[in-house]
Amino acid sequence: MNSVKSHFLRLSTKNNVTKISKKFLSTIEEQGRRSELFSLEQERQKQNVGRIEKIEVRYLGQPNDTTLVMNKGLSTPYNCAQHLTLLHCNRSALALVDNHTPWDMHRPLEDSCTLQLLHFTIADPHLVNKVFWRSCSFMLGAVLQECFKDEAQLQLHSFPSPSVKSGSFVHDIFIKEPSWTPNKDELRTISAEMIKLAAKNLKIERLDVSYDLALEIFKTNPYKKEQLPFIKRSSKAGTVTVYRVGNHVDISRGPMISSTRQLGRCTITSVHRIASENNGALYRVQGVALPVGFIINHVAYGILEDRSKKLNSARFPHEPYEDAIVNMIA
Amino acid sequence: MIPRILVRLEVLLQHMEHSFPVLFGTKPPPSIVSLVASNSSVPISSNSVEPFSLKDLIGDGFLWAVPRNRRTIEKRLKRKFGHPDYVWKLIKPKTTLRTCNQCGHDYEVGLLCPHCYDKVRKETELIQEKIQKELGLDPVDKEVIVLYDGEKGEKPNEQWNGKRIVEMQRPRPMWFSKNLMQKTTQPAATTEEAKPNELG
Amino acid sequence: MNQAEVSKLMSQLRVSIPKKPRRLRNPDGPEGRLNKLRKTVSALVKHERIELNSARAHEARGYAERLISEAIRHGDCHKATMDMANFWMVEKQLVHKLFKVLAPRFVNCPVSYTRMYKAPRQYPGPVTEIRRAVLELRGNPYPPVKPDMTQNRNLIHNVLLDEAKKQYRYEKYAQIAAKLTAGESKAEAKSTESADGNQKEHTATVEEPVDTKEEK
Repeated sequence: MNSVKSHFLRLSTKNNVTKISKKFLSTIEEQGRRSELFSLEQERQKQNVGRIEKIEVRYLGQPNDTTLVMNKGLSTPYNCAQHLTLLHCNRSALALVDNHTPWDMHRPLEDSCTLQLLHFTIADPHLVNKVFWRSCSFMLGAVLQECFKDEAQLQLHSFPSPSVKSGSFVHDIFIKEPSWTPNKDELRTISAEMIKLAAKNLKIERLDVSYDLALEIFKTNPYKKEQLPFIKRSSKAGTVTVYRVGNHVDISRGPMISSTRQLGRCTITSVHRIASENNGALYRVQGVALPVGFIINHVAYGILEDRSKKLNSARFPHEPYEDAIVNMIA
Repeated sequence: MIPRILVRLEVLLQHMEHSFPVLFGTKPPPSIVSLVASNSSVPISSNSVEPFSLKDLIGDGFLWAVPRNRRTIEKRLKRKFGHPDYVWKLIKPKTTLRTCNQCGHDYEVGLLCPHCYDKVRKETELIQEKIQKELGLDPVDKEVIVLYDGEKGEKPNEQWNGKRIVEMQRPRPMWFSKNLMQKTTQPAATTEEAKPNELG
Repeated sequence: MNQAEVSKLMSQLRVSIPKKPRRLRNPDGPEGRLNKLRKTVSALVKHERIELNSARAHEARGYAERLISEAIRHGDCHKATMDMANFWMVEKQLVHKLFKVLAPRFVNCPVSYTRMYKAPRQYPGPVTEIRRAVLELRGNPYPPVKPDMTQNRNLIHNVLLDEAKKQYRYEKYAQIAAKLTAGESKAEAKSTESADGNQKEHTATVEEPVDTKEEK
């Protein structure tokens, strides 16, 4: 506990957190603040584990079934993969705990369990595909946050539940620009940023935070603030699940893939204006992507790109009924 | 000032002392160390200086031919390690090894995975043996279909019409999928009902 | 001159054949080489999958391809082809297999009839190791040598492509349906000359694609 206190002390002396409400922050500073809060909470939760207990994790799969003795509340499926081979670490996108619960690769295991590591070329990759599609939406948010200038006053709205069959992944954003139609170069820039993010090989981390902390993290985003009460109501423990990649923090129900490196080919194909809002508009950014290692003919990929240009009809953010909001945030 | 001049004078005197014997051909006086040595044991035979001769060294023996020049560093290194483009004597790292996506064993790029292929080869040999036993020396005029335990009853006999069935007396191996050989025009199964709700 | 027919005078093989035949060393000279190749081609037709030296496999592959393609082109009533089959098949019951099993199997095959893989090496093997290969006929009843990625329609790129195909078909059906209804409504308009024919057409085009989808 002491170290956490000292952390806060250090922050307050640096005026990083305490003076935020008093001045306007640029996007980068704002992201830094969110990430800092995320790190602090992560550190706090790690220290709350206290006395380290051992759990037995039964790994099922290639090269052979083994039992690993891991630390309760600290060891993640990724750590289990590290005991196997480098291949397992790199290719595993998702873990399956006790044969039915999908589990993030970087989420600490809570009890003795069986563990399977899933990747993109297993016999039934339905789950992994969905997780990949969601992660693409999330990463698109991270990229968009960095692409726009501060004058655009970009606010990420949310991204709907992923559906691979729809042909495109989606992120809804607000920009203070009533009618923006991006040209080819702008779209290509966003695509390139996605690829750059993939090359950085950042891990995607998950954290369950309390409602108050979530409010503190997202206090500058009016849309997220609106959504938070509904999310709190829908979750059993009253907590909010947030994810972080690099410095970008966002709400998502999860799970996500293990690392940004697993994103292979990616194109952002279109931006549709879906509703007007005060002095600006809500836009839906769409794209298509394949995991790393999936090589398809450029003509076939062109067909996928063309298809992803059409407006994705997943739940729109401005739709009136409130039940939708819970489903809206994937 | 004065001590420095004194030091210089001393040095000059020393130099002169040393250069006198060289200039005038007299023998230099014995050094202090040799004095100590002479005091202790053997007196130095200073007067008997003989010219050096190879015969003293060889005696009754004779000399072999020896290398007249030193080998260059390049040649010595090449002898030791070889040349990277021609003969390289050290161990080279192999960069063409990959890990098989199916079984996790290592294989060389372009070749089949040894572990996976071994499995396939053993099964293939069993099937081939069985087929040859069934067919014998008859003229082969029908396609052969391999069925494992309990698969014959799955479909009506009309399905196998015009095909020769060879039955393996064992259950189908897990990794040998039944569907690979059969082409179908039916759409892929709709997996919507099997979707886990937790995912959202 | 009918230029288009010229290409049909020769068997078109889907594998590349080297310009010069390989000089497979044999104590009996060229005759011994041919005998060895005859044995190999017969074994390939008999077992449908064999493992052998890489060089001989590659050499035998061309002969096997040519033989099957001749069998498909001329059938078993062509004397030259029959003689050829008689020469290449060491065991004579395989001549039946060539014409009755393999020719029908590969009639509509748009790719090569055989496949060749490089077999794994022994580690640590001798430096002058003779490379092995696996030669097989397509459509054999054995387990596949390499995992087939195209069969699994649940992989993400297959899901995306299947959905794109579905949507393309759906749009095509919708276009056809729209054309049909447009034709009908025109006829209707001509016969009745009613003012609200346009509206009817509109509703018809909306409903039509759904019907076609269900029929599918």
